Amino acid sequence: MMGINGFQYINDSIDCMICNDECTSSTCNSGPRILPWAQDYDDGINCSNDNIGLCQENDEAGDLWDLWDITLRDFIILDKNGIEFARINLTYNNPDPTELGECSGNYQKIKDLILAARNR
Amino acid sequence: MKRLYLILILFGLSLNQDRSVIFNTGLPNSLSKGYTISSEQSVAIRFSTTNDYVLEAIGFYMNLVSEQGNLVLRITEDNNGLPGNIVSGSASWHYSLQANNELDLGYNLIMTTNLCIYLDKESFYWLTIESTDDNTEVIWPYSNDDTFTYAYTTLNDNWGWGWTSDIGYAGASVIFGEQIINQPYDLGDVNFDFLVNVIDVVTIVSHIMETDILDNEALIYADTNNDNIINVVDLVTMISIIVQEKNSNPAFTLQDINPASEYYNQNIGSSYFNGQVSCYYFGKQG
Repeated sequence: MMGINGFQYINDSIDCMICNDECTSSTCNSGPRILPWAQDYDDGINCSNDNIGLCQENDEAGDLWDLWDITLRDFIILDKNGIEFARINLTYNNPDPTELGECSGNYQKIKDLILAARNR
Repeated sequence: MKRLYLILILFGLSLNQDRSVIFNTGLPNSLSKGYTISSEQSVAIRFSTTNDYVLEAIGFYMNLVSEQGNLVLRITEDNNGLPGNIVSGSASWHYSLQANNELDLGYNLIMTTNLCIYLDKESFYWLTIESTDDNTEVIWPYSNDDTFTYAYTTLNDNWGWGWTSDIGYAGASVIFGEQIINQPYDLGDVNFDFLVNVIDVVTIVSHIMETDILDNEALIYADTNNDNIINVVDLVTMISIIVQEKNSNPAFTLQDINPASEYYNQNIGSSYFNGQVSCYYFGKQG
């Protein structure tokens, strides 16, 4: 699992995403954050080879977000063949089980989707 | 007065931008003009849902006229355009109003987190408010807009009866909900495991042979050619779904910049994780 920062947010503080034992951001207070975090660029590197024509460099949109037609806070599960299995926007589907208990079941549903992706 | 309007505007913006707002009338123009709620009159407003939700909170504006204000709020189903049955046993709240002040604008919030009150997709519901005693008199301020469906009853002791509905101003309020993930199943996925495979084929064969009959929901997904009949043609369609080659997402790699990650400084991405299930979150750092 990895996170990819949008090109349009490249200048935002990264403190909360890669913090070690103690986070300094006002939006989080615990660490460490161990998941990979990468920055999407608009340099066209991911637009080459098999992806020629699917995205453009220097068009002010990040290449990967362009390639995958991303909306902010999309969470995408790929199966083992790299085929998209599920796409959930976490802005509208809060997975945090501590906020609404398990009422929504969203946390469990995401886990179930990840497990189901193994079988495709 | 300028200060009051500034607070109103900021408060309105914050509500409009909330991702979990199901329904929002906007702010009231005035706290003194609205529906009277007393022992002689109850008022309700109707709202609709676009998705499946868990009710998160109810916000409402209320102007206390009497010395004390004791109310009961309910979320009910829609019954032919009028408030109907309460949606669940926990969808009723007794609420005592505090005296208004300029800062809170008569705004009240009831958190419903953890009550597990479910609202179904594309349905109408009502928020009803009535007084619980003879000493209560409050004003539920009008919304700005007069295009809402509201209802009132003057028969407070005849709950569920005597409602009259109309189009007009709503009582100013906002309803919050948490959307429930509703990942669509593919046609042919009759056991709802998000996969269309030989297990589904065997299940449909059992249905056709009448050895194991599918339930109504599964029948919808078994009818892969949409002709309202489950037969061998659906099996043929399913097999073509199973063998159909699906396109993979364009491959990418990006450098991991998290020193605490085991992949730090490596170029990772969908091509790196090929052969494994992998997940990607597209966010905004900060």
